Amino acid sequence: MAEAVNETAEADVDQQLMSQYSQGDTSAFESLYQKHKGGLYRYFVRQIGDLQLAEDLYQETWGRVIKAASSYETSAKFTTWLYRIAHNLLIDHVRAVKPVDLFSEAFTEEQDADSFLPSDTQAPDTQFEEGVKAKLLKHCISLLPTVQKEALLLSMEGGFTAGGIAEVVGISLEATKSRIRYANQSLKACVMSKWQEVENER
Amino acid sequence: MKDENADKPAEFDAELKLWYRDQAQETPSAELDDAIMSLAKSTNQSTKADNLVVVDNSFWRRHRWPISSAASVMFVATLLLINQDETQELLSDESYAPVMMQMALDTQEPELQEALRKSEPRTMMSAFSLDEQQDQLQGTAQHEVVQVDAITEAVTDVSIQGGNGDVKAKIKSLSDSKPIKTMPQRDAVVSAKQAVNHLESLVKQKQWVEAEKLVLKIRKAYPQLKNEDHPQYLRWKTLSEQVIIPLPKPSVPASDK
Repeated sequence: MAEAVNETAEADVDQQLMSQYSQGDTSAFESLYQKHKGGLYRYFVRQIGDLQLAEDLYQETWGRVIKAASSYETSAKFTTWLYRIAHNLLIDHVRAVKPVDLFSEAFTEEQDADSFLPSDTQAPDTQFEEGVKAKLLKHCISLLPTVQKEALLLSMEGGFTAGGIAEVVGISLEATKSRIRYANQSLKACVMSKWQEVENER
Repeated sequence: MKDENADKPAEFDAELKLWYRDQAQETPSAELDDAIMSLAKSTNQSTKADNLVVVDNSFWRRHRWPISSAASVMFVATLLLINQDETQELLSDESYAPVMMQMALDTQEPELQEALRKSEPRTMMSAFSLDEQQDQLQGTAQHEVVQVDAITEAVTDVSIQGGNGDVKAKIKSLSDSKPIKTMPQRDAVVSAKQAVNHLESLVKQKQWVEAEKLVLKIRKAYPQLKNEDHPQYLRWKTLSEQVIIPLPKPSVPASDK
Protein backbone atom coordinates (compact mmCIF):
# COMPACT_ATOMS: atom_id res chain seq x y z
CA MET A 1 0.00 0.00 0.00
CA ALA A 2 2.79 2.36 0.98
CA GLU A 3 4.70 1.41 -2.17
CA ALA A 4 1.71 2.25 -4.33
CA VAL A 5 1.40 5.66 -2.69
CA ASN A 6 5.11 6.27 -3.25
CA GLU A 7 4.81 5.26 -6.89
CA THR A 8 1.91 7.66 -7.42
CA ALA A 9 3.84 10.47 -5.78
CA GLU A 10 6.86 9.71 -7.95
CA ALA A 11 4.71 9.74 -11.05
CA ASP A 12 3.20 13.08 -10.05
CA VAL A 13 6.68 14.53 -9.55
CA ASP A 14 7.75 13.30 -13.00
CA GLN A 15 4.72 14.79 -14.67
CA GLN A 16 5.22 18.07 -12.88
CA LEU A 17 8.86 18.21 -13.96
CA MET A 18 7.87 17.45 -17.52
CA SER A 19 5.23 20.15 -17.63
CA GLN A 20 7.71 22.61 -16.12
CA TYR A 21 10.18 21.75 -18.84
CA SER A 22 7.55 22.20 -21.54
CA GLN A 23 7.02 25.72 -20.13
CA GLY A 24 10.72 26.48 -20.52
CA ASP A 25 12.31 25.32 -17.26
CA THR A 26 15.47 23.49 -18.32
CA SER A 27 16.44 22.64 -14.75
CA ALA A 28 13.24 20.56 -14.48
CA PHE A 29 14.42 18.47 -17.39
CA GLU A 30 17.81 18.07 -15.80
CA SER A 31 16.19 16.69 -12.65
CA LEU A 32 14.09 14.32 -14.71
CA TYR A 33 17.11 13.19 -16.68
CA GLN A 34 19.26 12.55 -13.62
CA LYS A 35 16.46 10.49 -12.13
CA HIS A 36 15.92 8.17 -15.09
CA LYS A 37 19.16 8.16 -17.03
CA GLY A 38 20.77 5.13 -15.32
CA GLY A 39 17.78 2.82 -15.67
CA LEU A 40 17.17 3.70 -19.30
CA TYR A 41 20.85 3.40 -20.14
CA ARG A 42 21.06 -0.10 -18.65
CA TYR A 43 17.80 -1.05 -20.38
CA PHE A 44 19.58 -0.59 -23.69
CA VAL A 45 23.09 -1.72 -22.75
CA ARG A 46 22.00 -5.03 -21.20
CA GLN A 47 19.79 -5.93 -24.14
CA ILE A 48 22.11 -4.87 -26.92
CA GLY A 49 25.63 -6.22 -27.19
CA ASP A 50 26.79 -3.26 -29.24
CA LEU A 51 27.56 -0.43 -26.78
CA GLN A 52 27.69 2.23 -29.48
CA LEU A 53 24.27 1.24 -30.81
CA ALA A 54 22.90 1.14 -27.27
CA GLU A 55 24.14 4.68 -26.65
CA ASP A 56 22.71 5.89 -29.96
CA LEU A 57 19.31 4.48 -29.10
CA TYR A 58 19.56 5.94 -25.61
CA GLN A 59 20.31 9.41 -27.03
CA GLU A 60 17.56 9.06 -29.61
CA THR A 61 15.06 8.23 -26.89
CA TRP A 62 15.86 11.37 -24.94
CA GLY A 63 15.80 13.36 -28.16
CA ARG A 64 12.25 12.23 -28.80
CA VAL A 65 11.27 13.07 -25.25
CA ILE A 66 12.66 16.58 -25.70
CA LYS A 67 10.87 17.10 -29.02
CA ALA A 68 7.56 15.82 -27.72
CA ALA A 69 7.73 17.75 -24.45
CA SER A 70 5.46 20.54 -25.71
CA SER A 71 2.73 18.04 -26.64
CA TYR A 72 3.18 15.79 -23.62
CA GLU A 73 -0.12 14.79 -22.01
CA THR A 74 -0.32 13.85 -18.37
CA SER A 75 -2.76 11.02 -19.05
CA ALA A 76 0.06 8.43 -18.98
CA LYS A 77 2.82 7.98 -16.43
CA PHE A 78 6.08 9.56 -17.54
CA THR A 79 8.07 6.35 -17.09
CA THR A 80 5.53 4.39 -19.13
CA TRP A 81 5.81 6.95 -21.90
CA LEU A 82 9.62 7.03 -21.70
CA TYR A 83 10.11 3.25 -21.82
CA ARG A 84 7.50 2.87 -24.53
CA ILE A 85 9.57 5.18 -26.73
CA ALA A 86 12.65 3.12 -25.86
CA HIS A 87 10.86 -0.18 -26.56
CA ASN A 88 9.64 1.05 -29.96
CA LEU A 89 13.12 2.21 -30.93
CA LEU A 90 14.54 -1.13 -29.90
CA ILE A 91 11.93 -3.03 -31.89
CA ASP A 92 12.67 -0.92 -34.96
CA HIS A 93 16.36 -1.78 -34.73
CA VAL A 94 15.65 -5.44 -34.07
CA ARG A 95 13.66 -5.52 -37.28
CA ALA A 96 16.41 -3.71 -39.18
CA VAL A 97 19.34 -5.73 -37.82
CA LYS A 98 19.68 -9.46 -37.47
CA PRO A 99 18.75 -10.58 -33.95
CA VAL A 100 21.89 -12.70 -33.71
CA ASP A 101 24.10 -9.67 -34.29
CA LEU A 102 22.02 -7.43 -32.08
CA PHE A 103 21.67 -9.56 -28.98
CA SER A 104 25.23 -10.76 -28.78
CA GLU A 105 26.12 -12.45 -25.58
CA ALA A 106 27.80 -10.35 -22.94
CA PHE A 107 29.62 -13.46 -21.82
CA THR A 108 31.12 -16.04 -24.12
CA GLU A 109 30.81 -19.74 -23.63
CA GLU A 110 34.54 -19.89 -23.01
CA GLN A 111 34.09 -18.19 -19.68
CA ASP A 112 34.31 -20.66 -16.84
CA ALA A 113 33.35 -20.50 -13.17
CA ASP A 114 36.74 -19.00 -12.18
CA SER A 115 35.92 -15.78 -13.87
CA PHE A 116 32.99 -15.26 -11.47
CA LEU A 117 35.17 -15.45 -8.36
CA PRO A 118 35.46 -12.09 -6.60
CA SER A 119 38.84 -10.47 -6.49
CA ASP A 120 38.55 -9.63 -2.79
CA THR A 121 39.34 -12.98 -1.20
CA GLN A 122 39.41 -11.43 2.26
CA ALA A 123 35.68 -10.66 2.29
CA PRO A 124 33.38 -12.47 4.73
CA ASP A 125 31.60 -15.57 3.40
CA THR A 126 28.15 -14.00 3.04
CA GLN A 127 29.43 -10.99 1.19
CA PHE A 128 31.56 -13.27 -0.93
CA GLU A 129 28.58 -15.43 -1.80
CA GLU A 130 26.37 -12.42 -2.70
CA GLY A 131 29.08 -10.93 -4.83
CA VAL A 132 29.60 -14.16 -6.73
CA LYS A 133 25.88 -14.67 -7.21
CA ALA A 134 25.49 -11.09 -8.53
CA LYS A 135 28.12 -11.81 -11.15
CA LEU A 136 26.50 -15.14 -11.93
CA LEU A 137 23.13 -13.40 -12.30
CA LYS A 138 24.58 -11.03 -14.87
CA HIS A 139 25.72 -14.00 -16.89
CA CYS A 140 22.40 -15.77 -16.48
CA ILE A 141 20.47 -12.66 -17.60
CA SER A 142 22.41 -12.64 -20.83
CA LEU A 143 21.24 -16.19 -21.47
CA LEU A 144 17.56 -15.31 -21.11
CA PRO A 145 15.28 -15.08 -24.16
CA THR A 146 14.90 -11.49 -25.39
CA VAL A 147 11.30 -10.98 -24.28
CA GLN A 148 11.99 -12.34 -20.78
CA LYS A 149 15.12 -10.23 -20.52
CA GLU A 150 13.15 -7.12 -21.42
CA ALA A 151 10.51 -7.93 -18.82
CA LEU A 152 13.23 -8.33 -16.18
CA LEU A 153 14.94 -5.06 -17.10
CA LEU A 154 11.67 -3.15 -17.10
CA SER A 155 10.90 -4.52 -13.68
CA MET A 156 14.34 -3.96 -12.20
CA GLU A 157 15.29 -0.66 -13.87
CA GLY A 158 11.93 0.95 -14.55
CA GLY A 159 10.26 -0.34 -11.40
CA PHE A 160 7.25 -1.53 -13.40
CA THR A 161 4.69 -4.06 -12.20
CA ALA A 162 3.32 -6.71 -14.54
CA GLY A 163 0.59 -4.30 -15.65
CA GLY A 164 3.11 -1.59 -16.40
CA ILE A 165 5.30 -3.93 -18.40
CA ALA A 166 2.29 -5.08 -20.40
CA GLU A 167 1.47 -1.45 -21.17
CA VAL A 168 5.01 -0.61 -22.29
CA VAL A 169 5.54 -3.73 -24.38
CA GLY A 170 2.01 -3.80 -25.73
CA ILE A 171 1.05 -7.33 -24.79
CA SER A 172 -1.58 -8.85 -22.53
CA LEU A 173 -1.18 -8.95 -18.78
CA GLU A 174 -1.26 -12.73 -18.73
CA ALA A 175 1.53 -12.99 -21.27
CA THR A 176 3.59 -10.55 -19.23
CA LYS A 177 3.05 -12.50 -16.01
CA SER A 178 4.03 -15.66 -17.78
CA ARG A 179 7.26 -14.07 -19.03
CA ILE A 180 8.09 -12.84 -15.53
CA ARG A 181 7.48 -16.27 -13.98
CA TYR A 182 9.61 -18.09 -16.53
CA ALA A 183 12.40 -15.51 -16.26
CA ASN A 184 12.34 -15.69 -12.46
CA GLN A 185 12.46 -19.48 -12.53
CA SER A 186 15.21 -19.64 -15.14
CA LEU A 187 17.42 -17.09 -13.41
CA LYS A 188 17.19 -18.76 -10.03
CA ALA A 189 17.95 -22.16 -11.52
CA CYS A 190 20.84 -20.74 -13.53
CA VAL A 191 22.40 -18.87 -10.60
CA MET A 192 22.09 -21.89 -8.26
CA SER A 193 23.58 -24.20 -10.83
CA LYS A 194 26.52 -21.87 -11.47
CA TRP A 195 26.97 -21.29 -7.74
CA GLN A 196 27.16 -25.02 -7.19
CA GLU A 197 29.92 -25.19 -9.77
CA VAL A 198 31.80 -22.42 -7.97
CA GLU A 199 31.48 -24.17 -4.63
CA ASN A 200 32.67 -27.45 -6.08
CA GLU A 201 35.75 -25.76 -7.40
CA ARG A 202 36.55 -24.13 -4.04
CA MET B 1 -3.15 -27.54 -20.55
CA LYS B 2 -2.88 -25.52 -17.37
CA ASP B 3 0.19 -23.41 -16.73
CA GLU B 4 1.93 -24.85 -13.70
CA ASN B 5 3.14 -21.38 -12.67
CA ALA B 6 -0.32 -19.81 -12.85
CA ASP B 7 -0.78 -19.69 -9.10
CA LYS B 8 2.60 -18.11 -8.40
CA PRO B 9 2.88 -14.31 -8.02
CA ALA B 10 4.05 -12.51 -11.17
CA GLU B 11 7.11 -10.79 -9.79
CA PHE B 12 10.78 -11.50 -9.32
CA ASP B 13 12.16 -12.88 -6.10
CA ALA B 14 13.57 -10.47 -3.54
CA GLU B 15 16.78 -12.48 -3.64
CA LEU B 16 17.11 -11.94 -7.38
CA LYS B 17 16.44 -8.24 -6.91
CA LEU B 18 19.18 -8.07 -4.30
CA TRP B 19 21.68 -9.81 -6.56
CA TYR B 20 20.67 -7.53 -9.42
CA ARG B 21 21.36 -4.42 -7.29
CA ASP B 22 24.77 -5.78 -6.38
CA GLN B 23 25.85 -5.78 -10.00
CA ALA B 24 28.04 -3.04 -11.38
CA GLN B 25 25.62 -0.27 -12.40
CA GLU B 26 26.58 1.15 -15.76
CA THR B 27 25.78 4.83 -16.37
CA PRO B 28 26.05 7.01 -19.46
CA SER B 29 29.24 8.94 -19.98
CA ALA B 30 29.52 12.63 -19.13
CA GLU B 31 29.77 13.48 -22.86
CA LEU B 32 26.51 11.75 -23.52
CA ASP B 33 24.86 13.59 -20.65
CA ASP B 34 26.15 16.93 -21.93
CA ALA B 35 24.96 16.20 -25.45
CA ILE B 36 21.46 15.42 -24.24
CA MET B 37 21.30 18.42 -21.92
CA SER B 38 22.49 20.80 -24.62
CA LEU B 39 19.88 19.36 -26.98
CA ALA B 40 17.22 19.97 -24.31
CA LYS B 41 18.32 23.58 -23.83
CA SER B 42 18.51 24.42 -27.54
CA THR B 43 15.15 22.81 -28.29
CA ASN B 44 13.56 24.68 -25.42
CA GLN B 45 14.81 28.03 -26.73
CA SER B 46 13.62 27.35 -30.27
CA THR B 47 10.22 26.22 -28.96
CA LYS B 48 9.90 29.49 -27.07
CA ALA B 49 10.55 31.40 -30.28
CA ASP B 50 8.04 29.25 -32.19
CA ASN B 51 5.35 29.80 -29.59
CA LEU B 52 5.53 33.58 -29.92
CA VAL B 53 2.37 34.40 -31.89
CA VAL B 54 1.83 37.95 -33.03
CA VAL B 55 -1.86 38.78 -32.93
CA ASP B 56 -2.92 41.18 -35.62
CA ASN B 57 -5.18 43.68 -33.88
CA SER B 58 -5.88 46.09 -36.72
CA PHE B 59 -8.91 48.38 -37.02
CA TRP B 60 -10.54 46.19 -39.70
CA ARG B 61 -10.10 43.04 -37.62
CA ARG B 62 -11.48 44.60 -34.44
CA HIS B 63 -14.58 46.00 -36.16
CA ARG B 64 -15.05 43.31 -38.77
CA TRP B 65 -18.67 42.51 -37.90
CA PRO B 66 -20.08 46.08 -37.95
CA ILE B 67 -18.11 46.89 -41.11
CA SER B 68 -19.24 43.80 -42.98
CA SER B 69 -22.86 44.35 -41.88
CA ALA B 70 -22.80 47.97 -43.03
CA ALA B 71 -21.28 46.97 -46.37
CA SER B 72 -24.00 44.37 -46.88
CA VAL B 73 -26.76 46.87 -46.11
CA MET B 74 -25.22 49.41 -48.49
CA PHE B 75 -25.00 46.81 -51.23
CA VAL B 76 -28.61 45.72 -50.89
CA ALA B 77 -29.83 49.34 -50.71
CA THR B 78 -27.89 50.23 -53.85
CA LEU B 79 -29.35 47.27 -55.70
CA LEU B 80 -32.87 48.29 -54.70
CA LEU B 81 -32.30 51.90 -55.76
CA ILE B 82 -30.90 50.86 -59.12
CA ASN B 83 -33.75 48.48 -59.86
CA GLN B 84 -36.47 50.62 -58.33
CA ASP B 85 -38.15 51.60 -61.63
CA GLU B 86 -38.26 48.05 -62.98
CA THR B 87 -39.71 46.75 -59.76
CA GLN B 88 -42.42 49.36 -59.67
CA GLU B 89 -43.27 48.83 -63.30
CA LEU B 90 -43.63 45.09 -62.84
CA LEU B 91 -45.83 45.52 -59.82
CA SER B 92 -47.88 48.32 -61.34
CA ASP B 93 -51.35 47.73 -62.76
CA GLU B 94 -50.56 50.10 -65.59
CA SER B 95 -47.99 47.87 -67.17
CA TYR B 96 -50.31 47.42 -70.08
CA ALA B 97 -50.38 51.14 -70.85
CA PRO B 98 -47.19 51.39 -72.93
CA VAL B 99 -48.37 48.55 -75.14
CA MET B 100 -51.68 50.24 -75.59
CA MET B 101 -50.02 53.53 -76.42
CA GLN B 102 -47.78 51.88 -78.97
CA MET B 103 -50.75 50.14 -80.59
CA ALA B 104 -52.63 53.39 -80.75
CA LEU B 105 -49.74 55.04 -82.47
CA ASP B 106 -49.69 52.32 -85.11
CA THR B 107 -53.23 53.11 -86.16
CA GLN B 108 -52.79 56.86 -86.52
CA GLU B 109 -52.01 58.84 -89.60
CA PRO B 110 -48.31 59.33 -90.37
CA GLU B 111 -48.40 63.10 -89.83
CA LEU B 112 -49.91 62.80 -86.41
CA GLN B 113 -47.56 60.00 -85.48
CA GLU B 114 -44.61 62.10 -86.35
CA ALA B 115 -45.94 65.04 -84.38
CA LEU B 116 -46.54 62.86 -81.38
CA ARG B 117 -43.12 61.24 -81.66
CA LYS B 118 -41.55 64.66 -81.46
CA SER B 119 -43.43 65.42 -78.29
CA GLU B 120 -42.84 61.98 -76.79
CA PRO B 121 -39.30 62.42 -75.45
CA ARG B 122 -40.34 65.41 -73.44
CA THR B 123 -43.38 63.71 -72.05
CA MET B 124 -41.45 60.60 -71.17
CA MET B 125 -38.79 62.65 -69.44
CA SER B 126 -41.41 64.47 -67.50
CA ALA B 127 -43.07 61.19 -66.57
CA PHE B 128 -39.75 59.87 -65.25
CA SER B 129 -39.24 62.96 -63.14
CA LEU B 130 -42.77 62.64 -61.83
CA ASP B 131 -42.10 59.11 -60.69
CA GLU B 132 -39.14 60.28 -58.72
CA GLN B 133 -40.87 63.19 -57.06
CA GLN B 134 -43.35 62.52 -54.34
CA ASP B 135 -45.24 65.76 -54.69
CA GLN B 136 -48.14 64.77 -56.89
CA LEU B 137 -49.59 68.22 -57.35
CA GLN B 138 -46.38 69.75 -58.53
CA GLY B 139 -45.85 66.86 -60.92
CA THR B 140 -49.30 67.23 -62.41
CA ALA B 141 -48.79 70.92 -63.06
CA GLN B 142 -45.51 70.34 -64.77
CA HIS B 143 -47.03 67.54 -66.83
CA GLU B 144 -49.78 69.81 -68.08
CA VAL B 145 -47.36 72.44 -69.21
CA VAL B 146 -45.23 69.95 -71.09
CA GLN B 147 -48.26 68.32 -72.66
CA VAL B 148 -49.58 71.61 -73.95
CA ASP B 149 -46.16 72.50 -75.32
CA ALA B 150 -45.92 69.21 -77.13
CA ILE B 151 -49.31 69.53 -78.75
CA THR B 152 -48.67 73.11 -79.76
CA GLU B 153 -45.43 72.11 -81.34
CA ALA B 154 -47.11 69.29 -83.18
CA VAL B 155 -49.77 71.65 -84.52
CA THR B 156 -47.12 74.10 -85.65
CA ASP B 157 -45.17 71.41 -87.44
CA VAL B 158 -48.17 70.14 -89.23
CA SER B 159 -49.32 73.61 -90.27
CA ILE B 160 -45.85 74.44 -91.59
CA GLN B 161 -45.95 71.35 -93.74
CA GLY B 162 -49.31 72.41 -95.05
CA GLY B 163 -51.26 69.72 -93.32
CA ASN B 164 -54.98 69.36 -93.89
CA GLY B 165 -57.77 70.33 -91.51
CA ASP B 166 -58.55 66.76 -90.56
CA VAL B 167 -55.21 66.38 -88.83
CA LYS B 168 -55.75 69.64 -86.99
CA ALA B 169 -59.09 68.46 -85.82
CA LYS B 170 -57.58 65.24 -84.50
CA ILE B 171 -54.94 67.14 -82.63
CA LYS B 172 -57.57 69.44 -81.26
CA SER B 173 -59.56 66.51 -80.04
CA LEU B 174 -56.45 65.25 -78.30
CA SER B 175 -55.86 68.56 -76.55
CA ASP B 176 -59.52 68.90 -75.61
CA SER B 177 -59.81 65.53 -73.91
CA LYS B 178 -60.48 66.29 -70.24
CA PRO B 179 -58.87 63.24 -68.54
CA ILE B 180 -55.43 64.27 -69.72
CA LYS B 181 -55.13 66.80 -66.93
CA THR B 182 -55.83 64.39 -64.13
CA MET B 183 -54.80 60.98 -65.47
CA PRO B 184 -51.30 59.54 -65.48
CA GLN B 185 -48.95 60.48 -68.26
CA ARG B 186 -49.15 57.24 -70.25
CA ASP B 187 -52.96 57.13 -70.33
CA ALA B 188 -53.22 60.80 -71.15
CA VAL B 189 -51.40 60.37 -74.42
CA VAL B 190 -54.00 58.00 -75.78
CA SER B 191 -57.46 59.49 -76.14
CA ALA B 192 -60.74 57.64 -76.04
CA LYS B 193 -61.05 57.89 -79.78
CA GLN B 194 -57.63 56.39 -80.33
CA ALA B 195 -58.43 53.58 -77.98
CA VAL B 196 -61.63 52.85 -79.82
CA ASN B 197 -59.75 52.99 -83.12
CA HIS B 198 -57.30 50.45 -81.83
CA LEU B 199 -60.11 48.27 -80.59
CA GLU B 200 -61.67 48.43 -84.02
CA SER B 201 -58.46 47.33 -85.68
CA LEU B 202 -58.17 44.40 -83.27
CA VAL B 203 -61.74 43.37 -84.05
CA LYS B 204 -61.00 43.56 -87.76
CA GLN B 205 -57.99 41.34 -87.25
CA LYS B 206 -60.10 39.02 -85.06
CA GLN B 207 -57.62 39.16 -82.19
CA TRP B 208 -60.31 38.48 -79.65
CA VAL B 209 -58.13 37.91 -76.62
CA GLU B 210 -56.25 41.16 -77.05
CA ALA B 211 -59.45 42.97 -77.88
CA GLU B 212 -61.14 41.70 -74.73
CA LYS B 213 -58.24 42.93 -72.61
CA LEU B 214 -58.44 46.30 -74.35
CA VAL B 215 -62.18 46.57 -73.74
CA LEU B 216 -61.69 46.00 -70.04
CA LYS B 217 -58.92 48.55 -69.99
CA ILE B 218 -60.98 51.15 -71.89
CA ARG B 219 -63.92 50.63 -69.54
CA LYS B 220 -61.67 51.50 -66.64
CA ALA B 221 -59.81 54.34 -68.31
CA TYR B 222 -62.69 56.03 -70.17
CA PRO B 223 -65.91 55.77 -68.19
CA GLN B 224 -67.26 58.75 -70.14
CA LEU B 225 -67.76 56.42 -73.13
CA LYS B 226 -70.90 55.13 -71.40
CA ASN B 227 -72.41 58.52 -71.88
CA GLU B 228 -74.65 58.58 -74.95
CA ASP B 229 -73.59 62.14 -75.72
CA HIS B 230 -69.99 61.06 -76.25
CA PRO B 231 -69.07 61.13 -79.97
CA GLN B 232 -67.51 57.67 -79.77
CA TYR B 233 -70.42 56.14 -77.86
CA LEU B 234 -71.97 54.23 -80.73
CA ARG B 235 -68.68 52.83 -82.04
CA TRP B 236 -67.59 51.84 -78.55
CA LYS B 237 -70.90 50.13 -77.83
CA THR B 238 -70.88 48.18 -81.09
CA LEU B 239 -67.28 47.09 -80.76
CA SER B 240 -67.43 46.18 -77.09
CA GLU B 241 -70.52 44.04 -77.67
CA GLN B 242 -68.72 42.28 -80.48
CA VAL B 243 -65.71 41.58 -78.30
CA ILE B 244 -67.34 40.56 -75.06
CA ILE B 245 -69.63 38.08 -76.82
CA PRO B 246 -67.79 37.17 -79.97
CA LEU B 247 -70.18 35.08 -81.95
CA PRO B 248 -68.21 32.75 -84.15
CA LYS B 249 -69.80 32.48 -87.52
CA PRO B 250 -71.10 28.97 -88.01
CA SER B 251 -69.44 27.32 -90.93
CA VAL B 252 -72.01 25.97 -93.37
CA PRO B 253 -71.09 22.73 -95.07
CA ALA B 254 -70.78 22.95 -98.84
CA SER B 255 -73.41 20.30 -99.29
CA ASP B 256 -76.03 22.52 -97.56
CA LYS B 257 -75.42 25.50 -99.82
